[in-house]
Amino acid sequence: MEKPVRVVHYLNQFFGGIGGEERAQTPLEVREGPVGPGRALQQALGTKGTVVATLICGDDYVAEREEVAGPSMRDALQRYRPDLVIAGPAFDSGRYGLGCALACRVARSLGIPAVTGMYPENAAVITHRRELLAVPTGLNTTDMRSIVERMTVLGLKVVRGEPLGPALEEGYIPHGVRKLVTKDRVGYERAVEMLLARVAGRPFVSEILVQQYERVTPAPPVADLSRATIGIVVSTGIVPRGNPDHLPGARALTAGRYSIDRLPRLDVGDWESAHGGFNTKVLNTENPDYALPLATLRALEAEGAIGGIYPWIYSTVGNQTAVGPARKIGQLAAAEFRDAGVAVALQVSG
Amino acid sequence: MQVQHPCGDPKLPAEADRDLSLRIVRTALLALQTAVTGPTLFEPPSTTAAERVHAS
Repeated sequence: MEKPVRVVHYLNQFFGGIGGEERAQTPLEVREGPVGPGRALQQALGTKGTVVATLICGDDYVAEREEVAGPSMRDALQRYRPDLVIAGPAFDSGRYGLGCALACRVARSLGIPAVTGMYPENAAVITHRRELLAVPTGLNTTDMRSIVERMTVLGLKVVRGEPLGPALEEGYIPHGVRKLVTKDRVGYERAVEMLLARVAGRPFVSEILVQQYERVTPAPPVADLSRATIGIVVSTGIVPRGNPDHLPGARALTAGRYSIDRLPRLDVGDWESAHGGFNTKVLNTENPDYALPLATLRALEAEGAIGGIYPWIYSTVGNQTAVGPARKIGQLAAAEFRDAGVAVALQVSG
Repeated sequence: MQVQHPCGDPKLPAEADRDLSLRIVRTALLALQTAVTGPTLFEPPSTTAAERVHAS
C-alpha cells in the first residue's frame, strides 16, 4: 500500500471553532490534526491520507494582512511538509475565500498541490481564478460532506500527478484557459449530432461556453428625492482637461474620481471626454455637460427637487470594458457612496 | 447610431436645449423613484412635464 498522503487543512476562525465575527482578527493558529470540517476530510481520505495539521486564521486578519498571514502560512507548511493542502470550503464568504486562495497560493509557491472549494462567484474566484483549483459549491453549508469528498478526490488525483481534464469533467471551477484537443470526429458531425439531440429533446453539452451574466436585483425606489444626496457615475469618459490619470479611450480597468464641489457646470476649458468609442467633438469643443449634466442637476438642486449632489464623481470609459473590471469600479463607487450616505446614484452611459 | 451628446442636443436653441436636458434628467429621477422588477426603459416626455417629478 502507498504511504498515506500528508494533508494540511486551512479553515477560518468560524469553522476552526475559535469564534464568530468578533474573532475575525485572529492571527494564524496551527493545530495538530483535523478540526471541525477536517474530520469529514479525514473520513473522506480514509487510509489514503492523514490530516496532520489545521491552519486557522481570522477572516479579517487574512483579508487585510496578507503580507503577514502569507509568511505565517509558509512557515507552517514548511514545518509540516504536507503532500497536499486542502482549504475550506469557503462557500460564498469573500474574506474566507481570499484566505483559502492565499493558503493555496502559498502552497503552490512551495510546490505543494492545493485544492479549495467555493461558490463560483466568490470574490476570490474573480481575483485568483487561474491560480485556484477549486471545487464549485452552492451556498448551503450542510453540503459540507459531499464538497469535502469532491475536494479530496481531486486533491488525491493531483498528488498522484495525474493530468487534469477539462474543468466541467473533473469538477473544478474553470480557469478560463482553452486547451487544444483533437476529437475523433470532425466538427460538423458533432454539430449535427447536437442539433439532432436538441430537436429530439435529448441532453447535449455545447462546446462553446457562453459567458454567464449575473442577475442583479433592482434597488427599491427612493422615497423622497428632495432629501436625497445624489451620486454621479459616468462611463462617458469625463475627465479634467488633459486627462491627468490617463484614462484610456477603450478597455478601461479603472475609474477616475474627481471633485465637482460647488461647480455650477462642466466648463469646456476645464473638462473633456477621454472616450474613444464615439465622436467626442461636441463634448470637447462645446460642452462636456452633455455627458454629465451638472448644470441641469444644479438647477434641480436649487429648486429642491433633489436634496444635494455628492461632491465626488466616478468616471470611466464604457468602451469594451469587460464585466470583471466594470464590476470592481461599480463596487468601489458604491462603497464610497454608501459610507457617505449617498441615497442614489445617477449614471450617464457612454 | 452614435450618441454624441446624451444629455441634450447642441443643434437646438439654448433654451430648448436646457429644457431637453431637464426632461432627460427628470426622467432619470423618475426612474429612481419607480419600483421595477427588471430592465425598464423610461422615455423622456416630448414636452416639459415638471409635475412628474414632484409626485412625492
